[in-house]
Amino acid sequence: MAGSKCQPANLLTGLVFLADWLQQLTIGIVLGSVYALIALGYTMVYGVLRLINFAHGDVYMLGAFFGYFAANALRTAEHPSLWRAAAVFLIAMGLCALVGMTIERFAYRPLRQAPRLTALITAIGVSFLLEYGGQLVFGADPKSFPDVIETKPVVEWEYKGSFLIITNTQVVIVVVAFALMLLLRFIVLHTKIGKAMRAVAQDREAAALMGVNTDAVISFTFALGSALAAAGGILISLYQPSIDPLMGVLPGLKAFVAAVLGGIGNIPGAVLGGLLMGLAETFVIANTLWLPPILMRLGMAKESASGVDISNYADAIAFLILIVVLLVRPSGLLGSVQREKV
Amino acid sequence: MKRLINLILLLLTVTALLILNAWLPRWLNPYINQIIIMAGINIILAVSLNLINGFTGQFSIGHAGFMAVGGYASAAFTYYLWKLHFKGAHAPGGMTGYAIFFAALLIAALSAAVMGFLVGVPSLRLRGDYLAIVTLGFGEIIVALINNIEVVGGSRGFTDIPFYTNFFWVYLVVVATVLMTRNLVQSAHGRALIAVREDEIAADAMGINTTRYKVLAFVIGSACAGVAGALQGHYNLSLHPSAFKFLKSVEVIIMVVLGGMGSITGSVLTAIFVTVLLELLRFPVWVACIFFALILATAILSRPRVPLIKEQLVPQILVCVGATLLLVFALAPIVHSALLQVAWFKAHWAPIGTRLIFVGIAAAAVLPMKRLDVWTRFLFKNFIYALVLTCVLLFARKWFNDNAAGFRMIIYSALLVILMLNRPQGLFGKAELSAATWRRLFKPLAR
Repeated sequence: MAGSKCQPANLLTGLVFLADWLQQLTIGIVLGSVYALIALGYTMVYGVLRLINFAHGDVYMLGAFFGYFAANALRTAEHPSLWRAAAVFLIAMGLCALVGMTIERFAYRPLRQAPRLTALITAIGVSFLLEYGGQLVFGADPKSFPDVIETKPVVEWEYKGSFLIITNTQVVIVVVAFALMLLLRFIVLHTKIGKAMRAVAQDREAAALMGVNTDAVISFTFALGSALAAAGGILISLYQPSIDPLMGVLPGLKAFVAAVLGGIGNIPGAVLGGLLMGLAETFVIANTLWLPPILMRLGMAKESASGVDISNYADAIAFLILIVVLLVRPSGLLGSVQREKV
Repeated sequence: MKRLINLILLLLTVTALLILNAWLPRWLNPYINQIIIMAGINIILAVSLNLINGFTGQFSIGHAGFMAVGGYASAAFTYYLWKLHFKGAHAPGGMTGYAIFFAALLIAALSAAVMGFLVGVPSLRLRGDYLAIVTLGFGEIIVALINNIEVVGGSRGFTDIPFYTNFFWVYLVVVATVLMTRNLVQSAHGRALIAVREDEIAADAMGINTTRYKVLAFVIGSACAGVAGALQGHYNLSLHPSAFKFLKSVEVIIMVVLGGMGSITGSVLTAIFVTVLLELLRFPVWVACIFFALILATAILSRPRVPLIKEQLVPQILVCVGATLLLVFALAPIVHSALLQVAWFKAHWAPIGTRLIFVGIAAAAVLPMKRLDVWTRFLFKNFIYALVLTCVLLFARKWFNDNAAGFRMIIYSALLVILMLNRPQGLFGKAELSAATWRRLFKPLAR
């Protein structure tokens, strides 16, 4: 993964490393848009159910595996074409939507009236079930995702000794991710079911009294979120083509953090949070001057040939940003402060 | 007078612990002794997290982080005291050892309490899931920092920690934690904690300093977790940062929620239950047995809220009978193979055993049918889990036996989901285990 080594660059020298800087920006946006896709599922489910769906990261893993099987069945590696790629996406998204609805039906619906922590533990149980079930069914060793599109660079630029390379895969990831987000925006804002979703998110009981079939709406929300996670799973597999049953754990956690960062329950917030997480992961680590010397002095980082290695701190820094943001804005960046009434 | 009785009780406890400490390693094999120690450590973790999550209602999911702080601080203390001061080939033992370890436990509690204070302070501003995510973040940051501190081994783990933990120390801390939590919860401070859980605004309006009590719960809870970390480090003789990640916190939360938020006895029992369960699931023959035993137990325990509908009686009875038959035919051979592990059974009962077991399991399955509605509701509720596992056991026994190790966590997680679906409030809810609980437990059978 890029950004693993720290470059000695600050604002001044940063200009010299302009291409490098842009490279980090690209990688950050690519990762961020995938995090955003997963975070959307978290935030939508939280919106309608007030439930942190811990199994969501594993639905993303399942999406990657469904994509893997679909791509192998359609033999995209031998005959790459746009239609086959689209078919891979649609199959995986459809199957994951079904999985999401099944999980909701059998694991969460019986617990609508139960304490929230109970539903949370059930979600963790489902997450374990998918992870270890995946290890049993798919095998624990990583699998190589077949080529769906041929990877070739679209931008190659050298500037004072540093390089900027943008591949078509990266472009596809960002374009597909944002197209899906726009589609989601359309569904939520301009369709009847979207209106129902917003109504359920605002007040489930009142929505039910107004004739909204809340169970159907919640089921649809799960389907939508799971389909987006599946798309995220395939997109990341195009970029890092090694998939295994535990691949969903860390991105799932980061996407959850992203959703909270943006203000959980808030759809634009999830996108913003996801992009910020992606950028933070690549950027803060790649381009800080102040952190490595301090850590070195504390004996908490090792120096290697290409600078001070602080890749171990990647996750810590993401969480640190989160904590700082939450201390300043306790309900996330775009979340609204809800006054509690007695 | 009361003080005298307390003192006598304390002395009796310590004596009992010391006697058990001397005799347990001779009575039981090392593996079982290890499980007993692990169960004790898990009890400390679960009860202390219950103080934060169950009694104060603050949603903390970073308990493993505090455990790591305590464990590493105390291990660094004992290790460097040994290497720099005593300089022997072996760590100092005897009374010096006991004194050093006592100091190490205090250091663990103090360092973890400081961290708990640091995490508790943000809870002034944050509520619910936002607080949860901050505790999660703190936990992960602590692990990342430890990963990079070379003095305590960094990402390779801290090895060569002196061996101090034994039954006496673990269960002394268990008794101390449980008593302290119980006394705290029953005091005026405890009522304040519960008031914060029930309604923070109302508690505030009643003049309770909610901030102070939330921080108090965090500090005490994390101090106990730190001591648990110290006990674990000086038992395993090594500490590894990856053992204190999110998964460990989840394990403790599972114990707390399964036992019932706000039930100390619940936390204690489920901590033992989960520890033993996870060990038993390592043995293939027990896997299926445990699963079905627990399904049956929950079937008996879950009480109906909806009466049977007359029109659906026939299909419901059919489902019942069908599922019972499936259970019997899937279960009997497994119980049989499990019992064959016992030498006595193999010698005396092996030939006719299978038939007896068939009858026994059929009886066990029919027993809850006395209350048909319970059984039906239970089967409908868990239809998919029961069906999938029964099918696996019936039609793919060979595959199952070959992959038994892979099934360990699957069964564990399936059990988790099933238990939660059937007892959403946890096994004990907010109740403590008392005589009344036992009466209530057996009521459905007595009627």
